[in-house]
Amino acid sequence: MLSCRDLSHQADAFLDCELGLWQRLRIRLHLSMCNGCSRFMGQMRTTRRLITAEAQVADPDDAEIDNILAVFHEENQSSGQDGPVTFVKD
Amino acid sequence: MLNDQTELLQRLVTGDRSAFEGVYRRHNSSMIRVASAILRNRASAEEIAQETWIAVLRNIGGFEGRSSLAGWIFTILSNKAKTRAKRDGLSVSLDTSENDNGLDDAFDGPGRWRDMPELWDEMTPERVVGGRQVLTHVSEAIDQLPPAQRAVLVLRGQQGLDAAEVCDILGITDSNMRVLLHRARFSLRQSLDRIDR
Repeated sequence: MLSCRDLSHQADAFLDCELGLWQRLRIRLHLSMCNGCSRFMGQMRTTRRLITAEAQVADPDDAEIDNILAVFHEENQSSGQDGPVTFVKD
Repeated sequence: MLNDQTELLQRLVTGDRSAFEGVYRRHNSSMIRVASAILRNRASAEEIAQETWIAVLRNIGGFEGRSSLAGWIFTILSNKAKTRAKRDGLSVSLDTSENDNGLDDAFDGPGRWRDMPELWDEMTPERVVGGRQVLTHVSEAIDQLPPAQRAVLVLRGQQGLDAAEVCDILGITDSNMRVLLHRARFSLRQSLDRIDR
């Protein structure tokens, strides 16, 4: 029988769809009967949404952007190139 | 989408400002976080992020799309950060054996909740708690994570890089990465639970 403690350890893997069918069924059965774990799973979903939302709060720094582009254009001008001088393969 | 990326790359090759600004906004904060996880120093991390952007613009013409653009950018960043770390006499390996700050105290002997978890109906990004928006609390909590957890959370949980890319960039195994990501999310959940009480 899955305990609440067991479920708390597997909650994130469950939300990442990393668990097998049997583990997922056990968790769903437990969630259908346990208010505490249903709330906890809701908290984990909210946490993940907030983590994603936090990444989308851009902190633009126009001066920094201009500095970087100025260095890039200066390098191109002094090398007489219109594009990049060297290549880094991915 | 492929045409959008091709156009973006072409514009970046010429140093087009609006194209660069879009990519910068999407990745710069995360780059500083990942670099600071390696260098343990924000000022150095900001320098490395700036050097990385210049290298990205200089070399974008050679990007062939075999990895994601974000994966390529973070690979350059991580290489530069590790070079700087070696130069400064720091360990370049992330400590993946950070303590488990799990929830075990929240359960009684048989493993049941001691206290019922709260309903987070009002836990929205804009909600103000303790004089600050929830997202501000989230930012602080992320910055306080142990370095390895922070790096994995940013790369996998925010930037959405593939698991394999994250493991390559950070030099960790897949199982380590999953454990670190889960621990990071648990920690964030605990931080949010504390502000809600």
